[in-house]
Amino acid sequence: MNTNSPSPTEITSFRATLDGIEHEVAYQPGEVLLDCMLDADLDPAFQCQEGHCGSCMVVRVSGKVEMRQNNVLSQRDLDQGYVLLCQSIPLSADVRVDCDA
Amino acid sequence: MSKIGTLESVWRYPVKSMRGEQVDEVFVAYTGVMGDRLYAISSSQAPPEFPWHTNREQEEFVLYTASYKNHQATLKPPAMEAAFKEALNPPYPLADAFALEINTPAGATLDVEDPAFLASLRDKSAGELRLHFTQKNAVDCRPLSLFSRQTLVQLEQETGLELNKRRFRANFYVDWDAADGFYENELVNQRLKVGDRLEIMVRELDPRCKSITIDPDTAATQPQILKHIARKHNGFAGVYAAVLTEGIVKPGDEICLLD
Repeated sequence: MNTNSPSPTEITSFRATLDGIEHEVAYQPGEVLLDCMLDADLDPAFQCQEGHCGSCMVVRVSGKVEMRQNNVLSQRDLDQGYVLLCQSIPLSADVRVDCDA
Repeated sequence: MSKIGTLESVWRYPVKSMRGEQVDEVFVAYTGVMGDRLYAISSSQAPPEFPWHTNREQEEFVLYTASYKNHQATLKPPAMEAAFKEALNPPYPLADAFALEINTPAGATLDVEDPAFLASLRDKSAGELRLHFTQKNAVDCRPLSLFSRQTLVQLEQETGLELNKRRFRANFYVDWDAADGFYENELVNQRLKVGDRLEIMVRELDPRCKSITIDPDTAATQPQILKHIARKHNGFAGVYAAVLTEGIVKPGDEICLLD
């Protein structure tokens, strides 16, 4: 991790666009983005929660995230900014994802 | 026994994840459609329980076309009728009957065992790629997959997208007589007869993955369809079936409910 990155406890939220509406979602350290969105009663697409189906692929618009594992996204997907909600943890305080992409 | 639909088309995928081919009349074994997914590419980077290099890692894989060099020999076991009379499982021909050639998106025609074929894939994979051959079909879950025209129409209506059925990579595309989309979901644990002899049992719903986001003609991806199925249909579209009695099938065959 970059030494300039905030510690996980300093990241308190991220932004997610779903069905055309941007939400500010509370972030709990150690959780993946998907779990935080479900905790917030949002209903993004997801299925396996193991990083191999791709149902929760979203575009990272800004900020840094790290995926615990990725068994489905291609290099082309990654180059286009796709990440998996079910595997992503934020590494910066300015994470925005687009679930409609 | 009541008729519930018609077999619209039969497809097999000689190399897992590559473009499929529609066949006119084909033997369906306990292991699935003869010639279906007999070849697959494995990657040392893939998890051991699913070691395959697929169109998920390399979308352009769907633009590769595989063709059996002796197409006719791969449609029906040579002693099928005699085996059926004795209630035997018809033996497949030797492996060389399934010799395969590949047409690449770049326009080259290569023998599947030509090192240039795997070399053409390597720049898209971080892992070591190897060619696998099996006569027992490298299917993901069950020997047969079914998908209905009605489900395709419903998904098109729900999403507003024009969807090529080939995205769903089924073995059997079916047309139900009087049913809405996703009728096949109601057939889980039901026995069906297809054509004169084949009997199958629908075993489970088909959980969908990134593969269906890939346009089979351009390899462009459209994640919306997968997301829609995840949110509105619990991630399932189509069904998997097991084969109970082997047989020959062809487009136009009646599909009957046995139970």
